Parts: sequence; C-alpha cells; structure tokens
Amino acid sequence: MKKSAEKIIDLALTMGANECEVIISKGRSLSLKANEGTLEEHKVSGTQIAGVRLKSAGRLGTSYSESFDDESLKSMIKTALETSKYSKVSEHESIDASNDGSKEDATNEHTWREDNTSDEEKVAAVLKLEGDVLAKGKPFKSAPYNGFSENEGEKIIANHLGLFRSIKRRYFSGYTSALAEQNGKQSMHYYGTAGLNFKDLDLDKCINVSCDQALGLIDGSPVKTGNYAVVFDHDNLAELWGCFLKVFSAKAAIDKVNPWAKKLGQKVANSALTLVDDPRYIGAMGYKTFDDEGIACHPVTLIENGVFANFLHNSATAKEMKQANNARAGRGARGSLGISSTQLAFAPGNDSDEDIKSGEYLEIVALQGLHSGVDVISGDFSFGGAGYHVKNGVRTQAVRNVTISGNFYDLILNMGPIGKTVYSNSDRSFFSPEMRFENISVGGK
Amino acid sequence: MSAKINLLDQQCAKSVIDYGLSLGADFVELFVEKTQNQSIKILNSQVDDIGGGVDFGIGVRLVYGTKVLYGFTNNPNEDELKKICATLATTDKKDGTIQSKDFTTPTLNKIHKASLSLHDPHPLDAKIEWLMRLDKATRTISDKIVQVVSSGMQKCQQVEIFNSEGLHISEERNYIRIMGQAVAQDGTEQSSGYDAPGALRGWEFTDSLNPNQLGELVGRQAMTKLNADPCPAGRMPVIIDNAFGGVIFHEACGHLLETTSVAKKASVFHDKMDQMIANPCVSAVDDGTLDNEWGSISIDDEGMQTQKTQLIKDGVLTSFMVDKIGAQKTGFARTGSGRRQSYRFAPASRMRNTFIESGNSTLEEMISSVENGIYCKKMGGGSVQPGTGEFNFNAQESYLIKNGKIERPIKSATLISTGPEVLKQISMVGNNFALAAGMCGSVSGAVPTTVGQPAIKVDDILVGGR
Repeated sequence: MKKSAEKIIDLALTMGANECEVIISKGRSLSLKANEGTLEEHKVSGTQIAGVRLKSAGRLGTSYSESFDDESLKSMIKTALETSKYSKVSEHESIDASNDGSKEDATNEHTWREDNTSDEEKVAAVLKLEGDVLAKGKPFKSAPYNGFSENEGEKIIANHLGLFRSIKRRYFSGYTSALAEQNGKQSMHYYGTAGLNFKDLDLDKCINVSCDQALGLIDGSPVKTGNYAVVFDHDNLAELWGCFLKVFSAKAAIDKVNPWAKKLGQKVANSALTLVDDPRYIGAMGYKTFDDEGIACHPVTLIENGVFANFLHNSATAKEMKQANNARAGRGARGSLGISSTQLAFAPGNDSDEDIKSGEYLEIVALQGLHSGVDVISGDFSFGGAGYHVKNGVRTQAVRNVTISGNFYDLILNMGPIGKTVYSNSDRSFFSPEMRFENISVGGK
Repeated sequence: MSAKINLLDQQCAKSVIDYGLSLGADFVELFVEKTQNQSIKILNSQVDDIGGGVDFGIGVRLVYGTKVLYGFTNNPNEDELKKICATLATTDKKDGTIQSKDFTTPTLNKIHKASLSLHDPHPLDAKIEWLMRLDKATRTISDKIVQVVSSGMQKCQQVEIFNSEGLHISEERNYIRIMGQAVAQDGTEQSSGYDAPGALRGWEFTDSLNPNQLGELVGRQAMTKLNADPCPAGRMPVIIDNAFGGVIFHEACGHLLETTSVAKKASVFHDKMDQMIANPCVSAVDDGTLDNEWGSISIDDEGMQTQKTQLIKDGVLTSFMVDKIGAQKTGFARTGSGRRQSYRFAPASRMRNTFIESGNSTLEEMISSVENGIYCKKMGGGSVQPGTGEFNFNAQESYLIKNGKIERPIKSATLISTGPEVLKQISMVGNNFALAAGMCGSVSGAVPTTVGQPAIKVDDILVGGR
C-alpha cells in the first residue's frame, strides 16, 4: 500500500499537482444472518479504494478509484486536476502536514487484536442470537433481524511531503431483535454488542435486553399529553447528542450553518456538564491517534462546566479562524476535507443515579425518526418514543406511541441533574453519566 | 443500450458460474457494476466542493435452497471470483448436479434515455452557472436568508448481470439530483428550508427545473418556519399534501409489503393478501416503468424486467413486492422488485415509484372539513419498524387548521402511528397527484425511490409538538 501511495503521489506531481495527499483503504468483512435455525445469509468481501486530494494553482481537487491499474489511477488524478480548475482559490486549505516523529504504523492493542475464532464458532454465534430468542417461547414469535459481523481494515494516509501514517483495525459485532406477539399486540426491540475480540461480544445481553424490552413494552400505551422529566437510556442518549454534533464543527461555523458559530466562551449547557471529544479513550471502538490529514490527535474539551470551550478543527479551518488545529480532520477516500468528531466522553456529574431517577419521569428506551425529526439549525426535534413511566423507582406503565419533542439547545441549558457514574453505550462510542432532562413535551393521548 | 455494456468477459462469467454450480449451489449470479459519480456544491455563493470518481466491483451470489451466500470484490480476475465462490461455499459445498445454460440477452422493454449523461459531459461551467442561479434566487427571498447551499449530483451506473439460468442482461442508469437548502435567521431564531428534486436523466433534467422557482420554494419555506409557533401535541385530523406527502404510504405500508419482511412474517400484512387493509378510498401502486422517474429502472438488480405492481385496490391488498428469494419463500410471483445500492449488497425486495392513486376530493374540501387539526404542506423523512408497523415522520412545513381554515404556520410537527391504523384512517383522497424523489435505506442499502400521492385526509393521528 505504501508503494501504491508513493506511485500515486509521484504521478500527481508529474501531471501538474503542486501538493498531493492520498488515502488508501483496504478491508475484509464477514457477515452472517440466521433464519429459522439455519444460516440465511453468509457474506464476505474484499475491497480497496484510493482517494486523492491535490492542489494545483491554488485550487483543490479530489477524486477516487476502486481500480488500482495504471490507467484507472491516472484517470483519477486527471479528474481531480480537471475539477480543481473550477474550485475556488483556497487561501487556507493546503496539504502541509509533515512527519512529527510519530511511528508510521499506529496499530496497537486498542485497534487490533489477534483472534483465532473458528468459522464454526461464528456461525454458532449468529444461530444463538436467533435461537435463544425463540427458545424463550411465547410470546416471542421470531427474531427477524439478527446478525454477526467481523470487519478488518487498513487505512493509510500519505502526502507529497513524505508524511506516512497507517493503522489496522478489527472489530466484531452482533445484534438481534425479539418480536413478541400477545393478545393481538406486537412489540419488537433490538440490541447490539461490539468488541475488539470475538470473546468480548455479550450475546446473552443482546438476547436478554431485546426480549425484556419487547415483552416489557407489548402492552404499552400513550401517556397523557404534557411535559415530563425524561431519562434516556445510553444508546438513545448517544443518538440524541449525535444529531447535534454539527455545533462543534468549525467548518459548519465558517459555512454559516452552525447555530453556535458565535457562542465560543458562552454558557450553552448546565454548569455541571463537561464534554470531551476523546480519540484515545481506552476501550472505545474508534480509538485513534491521528486524524485524516495524518496529524496526531488528542482529547479536546468541547464544553467545560457548561461553557462552550472549543470548536473541532482541521488544518484549513484552524487557519481561517486563527485558532489552534486540534486535528479533527475527517476525510474518506471518496471525499474532500471535513471535520470529524471521535468518542464523546462526559465528565461525571455531582448527583447519584438515585437522584437522577427520583420521583416521576419517563424512561425512554427507543426513539424513532432520528434522521428526520431534527432541525440542527433551530435545535428543534420531534421523535417517536417508547419506554416506561416510572414513579419512585417503580415502572408504573409501559409507554408506546408517544412523541418526544423539544429544543435541544434549551434542553441542555436547562438540564436537570447529571450522574456521578459514567456508562458506555452498546457499541462503545459514547461514554456518559445518567442525565435527566426536565420538561420535555410528550404527545400522547 | 444493453449491448454497449461489457464490464466482464462472458467466458470468465460462464467459468465462474460453472464453478459455483460445481460446488452444489442451486443458483449462481454475478452482478457487475461500474458507477461514475460527479458532485458540485455551492456555498457562500462560490464553488465549495467539486469531485467525483469511479466505483467498480462484482457481487457474487450463490443460493442453496433459500440460503443466500454473498461476496464482493473490486477485482474482476477469474481466479479471484472463484476464490470468493469457494470461500462462500465452505460449509455448504456438495456435489453439483445443475448445469448452467448458455447466455441469452433479452431486449429491454423500456429504456430511459438521458441526453446529457456523464458520458456526454456538459460543460462544468454551465452546471456551476445553473447552481449559482439557484443560490441567487434563494438569497433574494429575504435578507434574513443567511446561508444557501445548492448542489448537483450526477451518477452513471452501469450494471451487467449474469446468472446460471442463462440470463445476461445489462442496463445503464443515469441519475441527477439537485438540492437547494436555505438557512434563515432572525435574532437568535434560526430555521431552514430544503428541497431536492431528482430524475433518471442527465443534466437535461434542469431544462424542466426553474432555479428561480426552486430557490423561492426553499427560501420561503425557511422564512415560513422562522418565528413559527411550535406544533401542538395530541391526536387530531391531519391533511397531508401531495408529492413528498407520499412518504406516509412509503413508511406506513410500503416497507411492510416487501417480501423482505413478509417472508419472515415480520410484517403485520404477511397474512392479509386479498383482505381489506385500508379504507376503500385507497388504491396504491409500485411502478418501476414510469418514464425517467427517479425510482424507475429497466431491469431490477436481479435482471428481471421491471413492471407496474398494483399493491392495494379499493382498500384490498392485491400484491406484495417480490424478489427472487422472496418468491421462493412466499410462493408469490416475482415483480421485478429486487434492488440493491451497489455490488456491495445482495438484492432484496424494495420499492421503486410507490404512490397512492388519485381520488376525487379537492384540497380545499379537505381543509374545510377540519375543525381543529394540521395541514402538512411538505413532509420530511421518516422510518418504520417492520415487525409492528410503528412509524414516524416529520413535517418540514405545516400549518394549524382552525374551523376549516388555515390559521398560521407551525414548526416541528411529527406524525406517529402504525401502518394498519393509518391506512384505515384515510377518509379523503385528493385529485392533485404528484411525485417526489427520495432515498430509501434498508437491508440492501440506499436506493433511489419515488414517493407520491394526491393530498389525503387522515382522520385521527398522533401529532408530536410542544
């Protein structure tokens, strides 16, 4: 791969580029699905892609190719050079990252572990994900959506200044669903698990959570329309925060599509809330030590005691905003330079989990419509939701067919108590204490 | 068009298919794809991003009974493809008894022509100029429009399919989508407007699209929502207007009629064929044959010529959308509905151009029939849980109706219900039928689909708001 990258860079410089950066990704994957006790789908893949970002006469161009023959690579560079002629003259975006003395290969025990699990064990895992749901008997009717997958990949970044970084990753994941049917009512719930080793997968938790929630919600009904305190489970809390990450993007601020563009140094959240974007969070599935320009990345505090502390930058946005580059360049082989967050890690708050879950509140375990019910510009959101009405620590009613609506920016500013204990979501990308949100509008009966 | 595409040597394809059959597979298929992409994005009234590239790969499908083994690679080498077959068949390998048939290439019943595809490159200058006109038109709506994003995407997807039943067929699909987005700001209040028309055509699609009208539409949408009151929450009647309003049918019903969920009995409609599942005023269709529509295809991604499928007639369920494996599992005939995002996905039954057919009521009649409810002029996206039919979707532009008249704009309305419930609650179907482009994500990736309907009245549905 290193030779391929060097060849592409040499070719680009020969063809007229002044600066050139190459990303090459190669991957292999296995995915399995079960249906009615047998393997229903068995999928394997081997892929490769090269993407080039170059600068010529002050203008940037990008292109990519999935073929690595000489003709395709030459055509890729030609396309990037041609399209660059129509780009704006870029004052701030350059390809200027150089070696900082870090090891070329950033692969370590947090990104890749040896694993000799046999194919038979993997097949057994996906059969278990379906079979153990069915084995629970009535009211469980099927586990229509289930799967096991193993993914491994290698990514390299190189540029004309001699920078070269590489990283190998491997991870395993599994999920299942439980579809329950009782007295003409149906309920379905999903849960997933992920790990760097096969043995890290908690298949039993997947099965039990899916079944418990499907059963728990089957007799669910709407609560009365009104305002409620809400505690989201960690998967849904991660999804909710994930919808609004654009507020931390310096590029979105420059592009005037970031509602927090002028809020640096201002109070944006409850004073007890501190949020860090941490690429090196131990145990996270997305552990990384360099960004997509090849620059070393470290934790960045986004919100400190409720105050907006930092934007996430790549080299171009940092220059344009005259701030330090904190190495959050995001770029896939197919795309141009952007911004990418890593793991969100919240600092522990001041309250116990008992405080968070005191009195009356809605415990939300499922949200629907996250990709469509959000306006990042205004902060308004409206999702379908399901969960439980809880009073004094006891679930008093399963809740379904309600809408959860509000304004996210108001919500975090007026957030209720924040817990002392930090938990992970199921795919280990989000680390947060319990959070209680007061006065969320819930539409029901 | 079929004859021009030659992405994989026929002898190579035959050899790989024979090898797959020798491993005991009942069916072997090669899906070869080459896709050229181009995208242009205008931001701050200048070119912000412009790029493109070529995707190429081959999907290999071996079927043992109803079990699907699927692999893909970027390498068209015969040995590599056979290696994938061998890897896939590791646990199912047996003596092969089926012989492959010689390839025959059927003539396509329908070809969707594109005059300015990426093969016949229209000058980039002209494309940029068109998008700049969209940018300018959007900004002229109000000085409160603080940002505009306009972009154009073109894609030329060539697919070539070989299978062990002797089919060799190919198709070129040219897609274009134009996107306009406006951000309005008044003090600390911000809002956005969005529209993204698309077609199975080349750049000539923009001849039928007025950048001034599109800019006015997204600009006014952003301005209408700015300072609008929050939507009230609770159960109420809702009028959903035409075109992208059809997302309600797509989510509430369409996904539940795909054999992908029907075969697993993960659809509430799996045992409802020939039964009344909707109000009798509802008839619905999934039609892949419409000329140059965004969701149209000549052949599906299993090589079957596509067709028009009547899903519901006068409230009665008349057909599912059926792919090859779905047909094997359910016994229903294939409908040319096997689709996939790319060579990276095995095909599954998916929607094409899916819509509720026109009725007799006018929009005015519907609004005047509502004492206290909501008029959703423009819908956003949504999602559905196939097992239960629970869905939600978001309204991009909506208004409060009081005493039969539109009173004022509101924001952040979300509609939630279940498929079976909402189909029965449709009491009026309008006469202002229209279609709109969208992307649909499911097990075989994101595929272009068209949604559509005339305005409809849903008598009682849960609306989320504040």
